[in-house]
Amino acid sequence: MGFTVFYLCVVVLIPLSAIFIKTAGLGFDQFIAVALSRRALLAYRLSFGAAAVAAAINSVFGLLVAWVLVRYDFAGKRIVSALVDLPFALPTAVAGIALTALYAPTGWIGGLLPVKVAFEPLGVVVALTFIGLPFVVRTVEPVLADLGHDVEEAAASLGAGRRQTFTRVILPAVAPALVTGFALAFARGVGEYGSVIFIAGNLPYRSEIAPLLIVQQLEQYNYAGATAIAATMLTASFAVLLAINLLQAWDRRRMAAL
Amino acid sequence: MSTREPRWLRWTLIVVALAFLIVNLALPLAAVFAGAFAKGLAAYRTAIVEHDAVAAMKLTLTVAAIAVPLNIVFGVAASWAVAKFDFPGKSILISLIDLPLSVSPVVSGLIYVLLFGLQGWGGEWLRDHDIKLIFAVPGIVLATMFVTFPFVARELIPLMLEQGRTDEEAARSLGASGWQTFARVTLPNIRWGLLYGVLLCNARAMGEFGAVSVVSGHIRGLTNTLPLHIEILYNEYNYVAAFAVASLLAGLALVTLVAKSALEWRFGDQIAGGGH
Amino acid sequence: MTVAVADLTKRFRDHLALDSVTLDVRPGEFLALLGPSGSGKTTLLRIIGGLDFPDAGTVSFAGEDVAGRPARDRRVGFVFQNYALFRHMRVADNIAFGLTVKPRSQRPGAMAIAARVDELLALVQLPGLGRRYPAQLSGGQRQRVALARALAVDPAVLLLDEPFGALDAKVRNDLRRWLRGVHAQMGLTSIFVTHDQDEALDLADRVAVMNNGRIEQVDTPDAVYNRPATAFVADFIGNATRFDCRLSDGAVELAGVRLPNTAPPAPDGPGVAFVRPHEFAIASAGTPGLAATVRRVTHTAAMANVEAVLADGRVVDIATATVAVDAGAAITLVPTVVRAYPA
Repeated sequence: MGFTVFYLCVVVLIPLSAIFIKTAGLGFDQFIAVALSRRALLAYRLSFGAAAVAAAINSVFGLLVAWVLVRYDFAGKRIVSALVDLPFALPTAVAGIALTALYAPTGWIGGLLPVKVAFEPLGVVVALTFIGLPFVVRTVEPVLADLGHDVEEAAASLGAGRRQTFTRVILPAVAPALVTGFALAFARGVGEYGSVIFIAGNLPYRSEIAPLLIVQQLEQYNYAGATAIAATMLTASFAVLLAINLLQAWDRRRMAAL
Repeated sequence: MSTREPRWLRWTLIVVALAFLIVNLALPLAAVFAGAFAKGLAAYRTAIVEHDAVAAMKLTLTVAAIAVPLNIVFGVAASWAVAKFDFPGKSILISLIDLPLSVSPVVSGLIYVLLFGLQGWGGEWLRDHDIKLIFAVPGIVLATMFVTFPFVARELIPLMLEQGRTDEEAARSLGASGWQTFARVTLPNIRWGLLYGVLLCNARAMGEFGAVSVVSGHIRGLTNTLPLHIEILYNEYNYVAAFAVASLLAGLALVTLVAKSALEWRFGDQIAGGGH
Repeated sequence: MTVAVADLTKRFRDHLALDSVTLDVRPGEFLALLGPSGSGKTTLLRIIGGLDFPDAGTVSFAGEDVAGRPARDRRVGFVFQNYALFRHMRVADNIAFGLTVKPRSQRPGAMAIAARVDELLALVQLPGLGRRYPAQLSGGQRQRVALARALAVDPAVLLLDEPFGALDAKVRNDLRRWLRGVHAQMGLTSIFVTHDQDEALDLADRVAVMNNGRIEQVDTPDAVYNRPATAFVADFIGNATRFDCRLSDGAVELAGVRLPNTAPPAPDGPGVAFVRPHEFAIASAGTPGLAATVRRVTHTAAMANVEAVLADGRVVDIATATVAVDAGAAITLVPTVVRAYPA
């Protein structure tokens, strides 16, 4: 017990508080100048926007993949299930260069697409979609598996069609898990660095993500600037985390037991 | 069954799901190996045995060898505390454990630069005592520990909560000491879940990029881990070498996935049912 | 409405769940499907409800073949074993579900639905609980919500799968009586599955006893209890003890005692006999009959229960009005009534 708290303090709490204390010493005007400069604002917009788009894509396809894995039997299902975890296991830098090679104008996929993906904001979405998928699938999957077959049968015996059963019974039951998965994928996407910097092109004001801005500030030894941007992002991450916890607590209260 | 989709719909859903997974996951994986072997086997071998690559490999293994065991100890201790005892602030503790997953790896790295870097709080003291943390191996280990420390605990907490306290209570009532209870009852119950968490933790420890990138200083042959080495090679347009090194890490990822599925398949009931 | 199934067969992989089952349920009847687990009773109920489909055979409602019709088009109310309430919906929304999924042209207005929900909540004696979630109710309350939900669409047939299985004894008895009342009040034809013989005998108009995918007997509780048609029914119902015996000339020879057979006539030869706890007389040792030793004597309100050990080591329960034996005494058990079937 004591060890747990001690370790947490050393590894997590003290370092995190350092960010905010450092930021507090910065002075308001200076903070605004760095953290809310036009370049930073555009970087936040890209990071948060691309993360939201990617998490939305993953919510749709993640639900589909979870559904297929839970409900249907087909050859190679176990391999497919293992593959879903690839983004957890594959180093982000490896994912980054692989995706860049695929979506570059000369790549296997980039060569087929009419629009430019790599070195554009669209590339950021592609990378974050790769990174975020398992968060949605692995959050939704157990809930879907847990949803008793009898509930669907009850809906059918009450006269509901398959579509009504899905929209009225199944979807609302997995919705909290789906939102949680979205939030996890989103939070991961906002902070993602390794897989994005290769494919993004990193053009200031256009395809530059917020974590990259931090690194650049650091490379110029502008620690205050880096910290200011980091604090802004951390605050956003905490808000997402808090939202997830509140959602889960609400969900638990509502349908505990049974 | 009255609650099954018609056959055509079932197959459409399966095909769409598989297509998405192939484009989104399988193709990138294939691209790594295609890139690695683009210039043939000889070029591949040259890239892998190259001096800096070997140094990066050694460093990556060293970092994992330190960070993973420490996080195992922490993970077991934390889940033990959460699952077997009640104390105020328990839910806060659980949220804190998850925190590194929601913090950008770049920010994680930045934290350590702030603390131990030259301009940082501990910087002067460290310099006076001639200890170098940032832009050196200890900093890389610290950052890796921060990023990977939730993995073991996250795997174990749901598992231990599910198993409850009755086994331990039974052992205590039969006269076992605290340590005996842990070694003979708790540990065997959680071993597969623990192994599962260790696999994920290790994969992330060897593959971490953002956090390590910030603290490493990119000194070739000294503070370059494999992922950082990939970046350098890639930025030097040495694509074959970059992909060759990447294929090593991709191979590690594949081994991790295979081991993980094997565990899930054989010991599914002894690994927590929840997600990650 | 008459519910009839004929020659139903259903196979799950290598397990024959239903073996050409034929059953007629009369309009307004309350019928129990009774049997041990694995006997096929739940499969039969699910096929009648349209949740499973038979490999062969017919299902008809009021003479109309419904075998190919899925559950949603059958107008049956189905109460599931663990209620299968929609846990993300409030109680009122659970009950209204069947009405709100009707095609727009047949769907009642919001006011009408709300009124119907209130009416059903009153019927199941849960007025004012419409805004709760299922998790906030007790087991018995959930059971009643499940029933109200099934009744909302005015089903002609009500099917219940182990309706009282998950409830404790006190709640179970109250709910039984109440369910019987609702059945009569709504003029339903009801079929319920149970493995509890007391429940079946207490509640049903007729009981269908099932074993290994077949119906062994369909009869009134009185007939099933007192005139079991087969050895299985005699064994399954009434906590009987089983003995090997000989059948000859319509009589049973059991441990040197000759008694008339109260079971249906059977050909001469080896047989199995069943004797219930209250069908033994206790005589002094040495009398013709089954030698036994008293192990324990307990008393309930008006009866004494004697636990006796037979020579072969089996333990027999005897229920008797008067008893003058003590633990350890050697006695003879003399069967007074016996049902025997060909071995």
